Amino acid sequence: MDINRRDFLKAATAAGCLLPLGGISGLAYGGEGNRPLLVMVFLRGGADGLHLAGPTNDPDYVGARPPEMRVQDGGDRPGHRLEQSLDVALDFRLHPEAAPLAELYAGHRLAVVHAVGLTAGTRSHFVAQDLMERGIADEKLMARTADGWLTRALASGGGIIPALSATASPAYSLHGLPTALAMPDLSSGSSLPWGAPTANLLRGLSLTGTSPVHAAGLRALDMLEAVDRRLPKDGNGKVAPYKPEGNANYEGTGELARALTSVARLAKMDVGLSVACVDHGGWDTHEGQPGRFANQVRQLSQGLAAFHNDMAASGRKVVVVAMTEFGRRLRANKSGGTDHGHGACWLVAGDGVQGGRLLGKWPGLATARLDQGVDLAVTTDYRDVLAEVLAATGLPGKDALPGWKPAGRLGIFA
Amino acid sequence: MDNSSTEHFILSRLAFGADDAGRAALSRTGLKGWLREQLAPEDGDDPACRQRLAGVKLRIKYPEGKDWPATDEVRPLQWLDAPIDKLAALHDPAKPVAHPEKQRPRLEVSMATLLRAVHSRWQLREVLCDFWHNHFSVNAWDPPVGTALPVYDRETIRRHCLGNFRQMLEAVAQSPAMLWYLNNRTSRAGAPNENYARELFELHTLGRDAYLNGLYSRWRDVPGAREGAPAGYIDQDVYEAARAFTGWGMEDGSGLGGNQHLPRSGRFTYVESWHDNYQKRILATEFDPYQPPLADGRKVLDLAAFHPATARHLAKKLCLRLVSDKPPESLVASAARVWAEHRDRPDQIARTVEHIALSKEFAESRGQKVKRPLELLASFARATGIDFQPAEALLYELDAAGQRLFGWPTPTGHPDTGDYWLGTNALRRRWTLMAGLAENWWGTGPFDPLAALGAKPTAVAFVDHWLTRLHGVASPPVAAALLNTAGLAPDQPINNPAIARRLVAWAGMAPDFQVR
Repeated sequence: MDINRRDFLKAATAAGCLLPLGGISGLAYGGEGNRPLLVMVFLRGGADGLHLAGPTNDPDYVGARPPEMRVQDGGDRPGHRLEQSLDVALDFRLHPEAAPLAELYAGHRLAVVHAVGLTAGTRSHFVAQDLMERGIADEKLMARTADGWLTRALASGGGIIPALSATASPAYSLHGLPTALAMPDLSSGSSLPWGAPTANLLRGLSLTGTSPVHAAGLRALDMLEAVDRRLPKDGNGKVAPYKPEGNANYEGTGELARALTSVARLAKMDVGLSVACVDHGGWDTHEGQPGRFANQVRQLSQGLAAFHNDMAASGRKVVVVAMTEFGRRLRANKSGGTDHGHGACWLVAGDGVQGGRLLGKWPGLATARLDQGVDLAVTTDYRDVLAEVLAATGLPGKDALPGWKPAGRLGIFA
Repeated sequence: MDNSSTEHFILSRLAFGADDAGRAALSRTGLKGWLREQLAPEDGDDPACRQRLAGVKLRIKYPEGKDWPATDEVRPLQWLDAPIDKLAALHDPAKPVAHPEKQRPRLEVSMATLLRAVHSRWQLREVLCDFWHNHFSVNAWDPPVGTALPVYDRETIRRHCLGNFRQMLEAVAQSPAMLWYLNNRTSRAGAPNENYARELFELHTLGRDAYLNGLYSRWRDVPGAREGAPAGYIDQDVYEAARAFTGWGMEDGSGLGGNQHLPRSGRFTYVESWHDNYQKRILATEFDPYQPPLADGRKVLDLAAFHPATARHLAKKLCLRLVSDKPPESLVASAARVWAEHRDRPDQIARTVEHIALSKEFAESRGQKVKRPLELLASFARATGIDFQPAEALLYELDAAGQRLFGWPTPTGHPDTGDYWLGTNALRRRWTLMAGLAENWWGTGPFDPLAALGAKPTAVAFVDHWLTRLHGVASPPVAAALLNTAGLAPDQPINNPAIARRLVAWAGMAPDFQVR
């Protein structure tokens, strides 16, 4: 079906036969039915979960950090209070810059999972990221697990472009998936120099061999063409700026704007998109944390809210997960920052999420309860979150998480 | 295979692509003679390359600030030969400079790298420099690391790229760029920073395969440990090695107590009072307390550099770069043997590279490596003979194609296997790079592909000429596809330079030109 969703809606409206929204999106988006699109936002560098959602009245928290390095329950910049039943004695609050997230939380669209992470405690960014993007917890499985976890989660199937890596380098989570579109920015277009003659020539030449270059060339040409055909252009053939739906506003969200609008754009094309990966870098705050972290949280909150509004207005269901490789040390360091820690804080938002809840198991911040005596302990295997997300988004995911055993339900989804 | 396509293959691997001079040199001396010459280059750049470097100019532009006037000018390269103290002064808080001034050293090294890849007579040295920069990767897009890049490139990587690994390892350990990047400059007795020690074992020497993580603290259980020859390393080795390197720092103005401060020269220094002098056990070897200055760290470097796992790790990485994504085990093993046999020789690395280049496995590995974007760019410039000038815009083109020159965010360096370079948009940007070079979009130099062929060549003669130069052979089906795309009959004369440029760019986009 070569009709885009907006045209279809227009035609349907004109014909006076506007169907219930779900029905339309099921038709217009092709094969995936009404399955939510899964968007993984990777907060690279180890986001400080204790500064994103902190137990403001915990003396161990207050004593470990100067005021500008923690969320506060008073003063001129108090955090946003989170109604929760994880530990009712504690006053958990979101960072002051996270107002859009607080709104999603209050509207039961966002759940916060705390003290989550890798059970085997590496403090190395790239080992931790490598493990998570492979869906494993044990380095011994690394050599046997060459593909990304989302590659296995998708299994086969899907449409023309079941997966998008809207990242500067292709996301490892989608490693080994031939039909993953690796493209950081759709707004600069997907055309080739000199257009169709180049595409036709390269297609012909790519068909003459079977090497990885030949195969990758063919797939790239197919996907680039599929995108190019659907991207709206102005009179000069330039890609028209993206127009978000509803009241969504991506301004001020930094690198997230480019990636999230690319996901939104592709999600609204009939290419069968099931999963997308987005990176948000800059969380490795060894120094200068107060200002840098506030900026990061502002971008993330506004970005997730804009994407949520955009997709809600379009009728396309989504589940968004903001993940990070580890949290940061409870005690601030001497450079106005925090060093690599262990337990982290993840966010899950979107359709089907039983939001407005703080999930997991709070281990506490007393020294005896800390991992190695210094870091928030991990009480939730990160794969418990991923497994529930897979189930909720209807991805097969049989071997997505090798070696993982269910350890009790978090209940992120209704 | 005929000689010309063999020469093409060799120069695609051991050089940044085939050009006239390279072909002539190879056919004059054969591979052995060519290697002998290339593995013993003169110090520094060849005269022609030096002259080109002297002519490179780069724009710098920034608005007025509190401490500096608005600046918009075109400057020659000024930092390539600068000593570290001049570079470190860019971070002197008493004399603040605009951010673009701090980026300048990295940009200049990047321009020199592009220029040398295309024009240096010492091509194999350039290939090895690229390899070692990737092996001992630092993120120079971070300004304090980037301002040290000229010294790192010159005195650490270039000086040792064909030399002795143990010496190179110590040069890396003491380089301002690495001391900053992996934080050893702040490592102190009582508060060691394990960042460098971990990467030393995991990335620089023994390799991840030798990380016996499961044995965490049980060093006696490491195979061979009781005989003093442990098969691999564990976390305890990392922690203890971190203690061994405490006090290996840099003159960065840090306080020494008692109102004393280190100077701000940016030089390597050893601060005795920051060193942890007590006994240690690293790789099943006892370290006595109170060793002379630097002795602990040097002993760790000895243990790591001479470990059999290191010979294997480095042999495999060299084969991965020079031979195949899946190098034959026979070659990795024999290269590791040559590496270990020459461990004390000043030309250890050169001998290992020579062994790989002369091997049967190497000769049988044609087309098995996907070119990195820098290799693609340089090989196109060399094959076309463009009077290539480096341009800052190329750094963003390379980045978009997946290669962020001197800016990979983690200490692993860019992946060295083909799948990484073949993402959808990365491929599109590779194709775009060919078009942009042919049409001089970025000021890299005009290209007249008709000039080389004399009066009024036929279309088929033209295409055969350029396919031979770019692909090593003129395959008739590829030639026919190119002519068909341009709408040219084989015997038709070709005289439109725009179409001529497109034909050559298309040959550059073809699958055969994407591999080496």
